[in-house]
Amino acid sequence: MPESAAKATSSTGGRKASRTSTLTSNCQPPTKKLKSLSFTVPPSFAFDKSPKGIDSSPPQPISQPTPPLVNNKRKGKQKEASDSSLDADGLWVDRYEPLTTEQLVVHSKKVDDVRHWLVEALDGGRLRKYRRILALTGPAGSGKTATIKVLARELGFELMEWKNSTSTPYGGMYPLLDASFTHFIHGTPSDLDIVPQLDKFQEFLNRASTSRSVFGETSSGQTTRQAILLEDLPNIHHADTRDKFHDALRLFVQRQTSRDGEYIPLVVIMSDLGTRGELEDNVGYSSFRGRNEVLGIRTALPADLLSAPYVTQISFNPVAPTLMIKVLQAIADQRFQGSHSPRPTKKVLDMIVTCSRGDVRGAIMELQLSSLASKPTKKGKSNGSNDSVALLKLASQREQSMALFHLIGKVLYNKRKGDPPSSSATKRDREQLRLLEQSIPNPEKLPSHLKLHNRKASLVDVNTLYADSPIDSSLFSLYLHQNYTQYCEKLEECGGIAEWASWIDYSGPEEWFQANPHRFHLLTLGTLHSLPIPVPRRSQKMFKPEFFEQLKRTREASNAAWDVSEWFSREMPQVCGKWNKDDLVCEAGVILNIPSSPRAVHPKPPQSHDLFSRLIFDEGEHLPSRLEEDDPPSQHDFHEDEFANRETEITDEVADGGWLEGDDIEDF
Amino acid sequence: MSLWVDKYRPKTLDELSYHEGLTTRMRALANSGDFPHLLVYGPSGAGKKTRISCILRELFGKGVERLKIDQRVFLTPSKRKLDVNIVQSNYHIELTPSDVGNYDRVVIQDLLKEIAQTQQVDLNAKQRFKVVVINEADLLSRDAQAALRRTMEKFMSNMRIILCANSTSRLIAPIKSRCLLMRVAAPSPEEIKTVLQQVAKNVGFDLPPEASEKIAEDSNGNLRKATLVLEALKMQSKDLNSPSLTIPKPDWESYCHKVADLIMSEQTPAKVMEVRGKFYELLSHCIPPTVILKTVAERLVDQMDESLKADVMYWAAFYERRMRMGNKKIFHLEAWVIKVMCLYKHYFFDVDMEDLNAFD
Repeated sequence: MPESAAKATSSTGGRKASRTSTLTSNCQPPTKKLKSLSFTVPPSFAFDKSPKGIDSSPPQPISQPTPPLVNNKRKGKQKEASDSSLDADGLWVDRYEPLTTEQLVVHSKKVDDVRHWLVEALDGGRLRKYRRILALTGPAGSGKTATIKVLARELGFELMEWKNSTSTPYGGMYPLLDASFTHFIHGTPSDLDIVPQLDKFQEFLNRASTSRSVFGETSSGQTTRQAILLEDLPNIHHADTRDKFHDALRLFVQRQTSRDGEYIPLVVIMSDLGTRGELEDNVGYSSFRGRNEVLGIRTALPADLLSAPYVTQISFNPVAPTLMIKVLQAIADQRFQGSHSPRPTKKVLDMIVTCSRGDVRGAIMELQLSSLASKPTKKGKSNGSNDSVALLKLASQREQSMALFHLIGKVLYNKRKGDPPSSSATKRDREQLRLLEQSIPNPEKLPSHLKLHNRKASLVDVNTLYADSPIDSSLFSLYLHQNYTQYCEKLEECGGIAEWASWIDYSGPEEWFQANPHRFHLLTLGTLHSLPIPVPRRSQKMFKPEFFEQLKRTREASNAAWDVSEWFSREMPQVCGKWNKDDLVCEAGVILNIPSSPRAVHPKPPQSHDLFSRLIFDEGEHLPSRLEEDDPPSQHDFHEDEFANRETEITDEVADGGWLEGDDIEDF
Repeated sequence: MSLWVDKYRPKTLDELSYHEGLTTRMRALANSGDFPHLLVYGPSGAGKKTRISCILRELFGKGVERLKIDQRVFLTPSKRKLDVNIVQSNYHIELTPSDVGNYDRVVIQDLLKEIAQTQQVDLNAKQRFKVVVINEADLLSRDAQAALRRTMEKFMSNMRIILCANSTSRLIAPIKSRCLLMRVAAPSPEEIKTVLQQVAKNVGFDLPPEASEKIAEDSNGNLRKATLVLEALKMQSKDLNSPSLTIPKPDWESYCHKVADLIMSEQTPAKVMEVRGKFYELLSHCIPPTVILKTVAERLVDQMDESLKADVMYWAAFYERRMRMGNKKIFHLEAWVIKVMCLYKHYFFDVDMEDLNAFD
């Protein structure tokens, strides 16, 4: 390859050029940030932000009070009126980025919280020591990053951002070495180049938090206050990386001050996981398997830090529709003022808002998309908006996985053709239902010996359910299993469903590559077939599976049994006679449960044996936790270190109140 | 607190009181100079481990009783650390690889290789080989069994393996064929009574024959259970002579019985829900699901009409098999309960049984 030959001998300059080109061509899919689009100078790499980086490009804080070179796009608003090149303006998300707190779609109280924290962290006060890490969490597009940037502007501090470098051999160049060493060691830069990402991260934190002066002066001639922004986390799925990452954070918190005696706060921004819960390997009885792989603030920050006073967590809510519609209208007003293209109608905006589910970024993206769609027709307003509605339908349908709650409801309510319409249904609903029923053919009559299996045609389309299901079939089976009994009237109906659940669990292993691929369909169809027609409505409540709670307790009990077994073998070592766990659990309870008599002085086995040896049969009924309409599946079911969070969760649910009444399901 | 089970365990082959034929054969084996790999199997509490330790004593002399316990750390391929406690002497080592779940192969491979590659250093040792005792061999994963099979051939000169298992059905054939199989059957009630009297004599109290009779009957051929119950009775300082002596039951057993009563009491979907809660409770106390199913089924059969017994047991066996293959034990337990409830209800209301088979 000629290029590689050139690389071996050429200076760093050539390398840089190629690096730049890779980045710009690599315009991200329109999901996150898209900063790369607004760069006019070569985008800087992870380390270029470091104060000591002796690099050709000037250090470049992403948010400056008066950006010198970059971000002419940011001022799009002012330039708008005179701007004729409307098409080439990049993404509206960047273009109409909020500049003041008034423009933010975040609740002003939230903004105040964040501002308060930042002021305390930057300007001191007694609490300053503890204002080290701010964790902003919330669903995607709830304005976390925008809030921080706006506040940076308002309070006048710089944000230094860590970015993971791409892993091309030269991509992650170590700037120090880049500038000095590689000149000496021509041709063999590879040994030096490969600096683990994490080392770089540690270095970044270290430098960013200690040596600030160089950075501050170059940007505006006077020292400004700074904060570190961490949005692009290292790969914390990998256990080793995560440990190192945690160590770096701990070190950061413990490090007292920067050179001139000031703390530099760190802001971590994490989007909550979407509705796709991952089952991972949490199902299983072995105590060595239950690892927690869910990426969330609890994995990103070490547990000891989360509970320590240094970390403050502020969580954002999805953007309220009222706020969102205002923003969209404002953008539309600006955008289509004096332009030929038709302004999107109110209907389109409303639709965007409902589809976005509180994701303001997504909403603006869709607004842009819809305006693109309406452009080429140029026939007139109505036509354009119809087109964009159609397009929106297409674009937004795919994105939305059905809420878990509705998925379970759809199956368990077992709606069939010719069911009496519910009392609360409106005329329009009935009409829709009638159309739907017309589109579904009646099943053929079964021969008389199979008449037992005659059912009316089902209104549930299993394929759609499968496509929209936010959870995999294993978890789905657990949710169904938890709830089905309430929907049955007779034992035989229960029997049918339980038999299907049992058969499906037995039909193949758990891992996706080995599992029976038809599990979901079989389970759904089997359940639908077994349920009564129509399903009785008695305002059933949905519950989350108790399965995981039980699994956790089993694990604890199993550990306790293990401890006791170890204790026995230490107390009285046998040549061969270690207590087997099952034997211990099943047989030793007789002895372990006897309160030892006072005269006996012998040491006692670990008290944790209660976990497996003591079982009281109580008559009272206990209720598992309820599944609410907007609950994402599984997220907390799979958290193992949820203990701390449990209480708040419970109070939340109590506060929310009101479960779904039987007839609400009609709407979906 | 050392339990009587441990304290009064026979230490040499001579002290063993039942299965005379087996004992003689073991003695002969130990002295033959050509000791094979052993697979000792039999029901729980029959004395497998006791016999193994007696053989070890016979093979190596008193030296095997100098034990040390240490904790070893194994590294899985994914760099996960496994702590395993190991009891060993200079001549033998006892392992329970199934403690580490799916990673048992790592333990088997690493440890056996290490032991097999070091020669017996003690020149006065009676045998040139070391013995590895593997507990719960039937719970070893396929991988681990495969790893074991190769090791057994390769390191025959330095090492013998004694496997201890409840049943041989889950062991792969190559392992079974490399071992000498030795079945330790459960002792009869008579034999249990003798042992109990022996224990009582060692402790120094009088055990009335009626009491030992009762305990032996209740123990179901499980000598360990019998001894534990005896100790429990003594600890509660109950009067062993009273005719109304009740044998203490572990909590889970009475719990299972109450679950069975629940099933008999009412057959509705709501009851299914309640029974499920109880099953969850049992499972979260680490009671093996098979044991739950068995105990509840036995209790049900005790109380049900003759004509239903076969069906209840058939379905119990049916769902027990599914439970072993599947992952979510509760599904199968529940499916069985509903089946039983249906059977019982239909019997009760004298409905035609044909309808039931609709779900098969």
